[in-house]
Amino acid sequence: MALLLGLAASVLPAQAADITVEILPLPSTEGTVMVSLFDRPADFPRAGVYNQQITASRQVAGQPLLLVFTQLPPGRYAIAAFQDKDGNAKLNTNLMGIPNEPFGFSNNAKASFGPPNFDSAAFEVGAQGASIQLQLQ
Amino acid sequence: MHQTSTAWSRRQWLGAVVALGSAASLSSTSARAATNSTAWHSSYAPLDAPGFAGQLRTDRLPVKGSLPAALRGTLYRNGPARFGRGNSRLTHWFDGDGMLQALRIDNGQVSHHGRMLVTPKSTQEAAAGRFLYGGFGSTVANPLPVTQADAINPANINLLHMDQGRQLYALWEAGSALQVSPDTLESQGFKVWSPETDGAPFSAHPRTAPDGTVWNFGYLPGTGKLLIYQIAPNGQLQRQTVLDVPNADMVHDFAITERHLIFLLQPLKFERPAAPMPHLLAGMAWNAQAPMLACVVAMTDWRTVLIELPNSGVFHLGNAHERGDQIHLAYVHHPDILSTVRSFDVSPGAPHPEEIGTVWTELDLHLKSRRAVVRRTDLTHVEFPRFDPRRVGLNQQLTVMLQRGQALVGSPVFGFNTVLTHDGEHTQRHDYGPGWLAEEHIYVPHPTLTHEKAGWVLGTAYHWPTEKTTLSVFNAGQISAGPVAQMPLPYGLPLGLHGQFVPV
Repeated sequence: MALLLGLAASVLPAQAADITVEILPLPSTEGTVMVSLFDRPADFPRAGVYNQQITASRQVAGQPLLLVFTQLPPGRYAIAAFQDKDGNAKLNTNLMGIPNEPFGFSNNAKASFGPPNFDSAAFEVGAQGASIQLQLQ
Repeated sequence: MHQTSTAWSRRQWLGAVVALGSAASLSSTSARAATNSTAWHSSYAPLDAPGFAGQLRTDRLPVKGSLPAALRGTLYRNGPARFGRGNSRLTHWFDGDGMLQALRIDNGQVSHHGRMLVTPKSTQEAAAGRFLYGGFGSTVANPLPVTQADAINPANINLLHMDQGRQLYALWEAGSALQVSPDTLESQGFKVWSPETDGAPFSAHPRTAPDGTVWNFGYLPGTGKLLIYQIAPNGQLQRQTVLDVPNADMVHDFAITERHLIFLLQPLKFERPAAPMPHLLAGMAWNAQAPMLACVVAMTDWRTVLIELPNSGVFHLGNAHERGDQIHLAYVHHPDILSTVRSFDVSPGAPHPEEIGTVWTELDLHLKSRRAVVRRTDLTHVEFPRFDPRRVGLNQQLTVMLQRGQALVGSPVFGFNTVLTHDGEHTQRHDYGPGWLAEEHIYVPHPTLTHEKAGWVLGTAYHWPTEKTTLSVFNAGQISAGPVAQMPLPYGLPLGLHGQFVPV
C-alpha cells in the first residue's frame, strides 16, 4: 500500500531518487505515523526537510506500512518517525522528557538518554534511491 | 567440582519440590553448597533452577519463643532474585528480577508466601527463554534496544503501601511503580499517577508523612532534574513538579520534615557517551574534589536552598526533623560509592565485594546561613537505617540499622551479621553469629502504645551453611536481649533489599 506523494520541490535536480520507507508492523493501529526526512545534522531529529504521515489503521495485519519520498537529490539522509496515537501532532513525553508514544529512527539507531545523532541514523542515497525499514518502539 | 555438582543436583531437586507445593520437606536437605565467598550468591541459586515455579509458600511456620500478641500484620519484602534465564545471566546485583515476600503474622501464627513479580520485561524474557536486556550494571548478549525505562523495570528494590494497606506497589528507581495485590501478590501493571508522569521515574524510597501524604521523587541521569510527587493517602496525585538541581545523576533516597524535602546530591556524574554504553553504570564517574550538596526544598513553593557538605557518597538517609531554621538529619556515608556499586557482581566466581567502610553521619543544616555541621559518628560498617513510621519528619529517638560486626569486617563474606538500635547516645546490638547474613530489619510500632521502645524490630536473616531463612522479632527497647520469637522457614529466601510492615 504505497503512498506516492510527489514533493513540491521548486527545482528538481538532474538526477532524482526515491526513498521507500517500510514501517514494520505496529502493535496498535491508533492514530497516525509521522515520518520526517532529514538532510542536515543540525535539524535532526526535530525539523525534517520533508514530512509525511500515514494513518496507522491502514496497516493490514502483519504487513508493513509503506510510503515513499520522491524526487530527491542523491545525498546523505536520516529518518525519524513516531506514532501519533492521540492525534496532537507531536511526540508525547512525560515531565522528564521521556517519549511515551512509539518512535524510531533509520538504521534502527538507538535512543539512549536522548535521541541518536544524525550520523548513527544516516544512510546514503544514490541515483537508484534507497529502501529503509523502520521499527517503532 | 564435587561441590558444584552436589549443589546443582540439590537445586534441581529443590525446584521440583517447590513446584509441587510441598515446601516443608525441603528442610531435610543436608547439602553444603556455599562457601565464605559465595554465601551471598547461594541464596539466589535455587530460584534459577529449572523447576522453580515462581512461588514459595508455607502456611504455618514454627514459632520459637513468644510472639507478642499485639504484633499483627504483614512484613512485605522485595529484592532482586532471578539472575539466570536459559543460558543467560545478569551479573549485577541490582538487575535481578524482583521477588516479593509476605510474612503474615496474626493470632500467634506466621505464614510465608513468596512470588516472583511479573513485569513486561520478565514476561518478554520468559517467552524468549533468555534475558533480552542488560540494565543498571549488567550486559547480555545481543540486547534489545531500550526506548522506555519500564521495558527494563524489574520492580526489585522496595515497596510502598497506601490506603490502609489496600494499595501495594513494588518499586524500582528509574521507572514506574508496579501495582501488586496485597493478598495474592499478583502483579497488576504499572501505576500511572497522572498523564504527565506516565512512564516517568518513581523512586524506591518514598516517604509517608504522619498524615498519610506520600512524597516521592524521580530522576533521570544526565538531566539535572528532580521530578517531585505529592500523593494523597488514598493514592490520588495532588501535586507534581520538576526542579532543576546541580546534579541528580544517582539519587537513591531522600528525607522529609514537616515543611521541607531534603536531597543529598552526591558528586557522581553521568556522562552520556558518544557510543552506546554496555550499561548505565559504565557512564558514571566520581568527582573526588566536588562537595556533596544538601538540597532543601520547601514543600509550599518548591523554593530551594543548596548547602555544601564534604565530599561523600550516599544511598540511604535516616529520619529528618526541623527546629527553627535548622534541619537535623542523618545518613550513611559511603567513602567510595562508585567502587562499591561496581563490586556488586553476582556472577559465579566473581570476587567478593570489597569492604565498604560506611559511617553513620549526623548533619545540622542551617538554612539562613547555608552552613552545615557534620558529625561522623563511631557507628561504622552500617547500612539500611529504619525508624518509627509514625514519626517520619519528626524528632524521634530510635534508628534500626544493620552492621558488619567484627567477625565479618575484612572477611570475604558479603553482608551484615548484626542488627542494632541507636538512640543518639546508646547502641544495642544483636549479633546473629557465624553463618548468618541479616537482611534489612525494620521498626514496627506497637498498635496502641506510643513510646518507641514499646515497639518491635522485625527482620529476616539467611543462614548460608544450611541455605535457610529465619524471621526474628525483637523488643525494640531490648535488641541486645536477642529475639523474643523466631520463625524458621523451610527454605532460603533470596537476600533482598527493603521491606515494609502493614499492620492488620
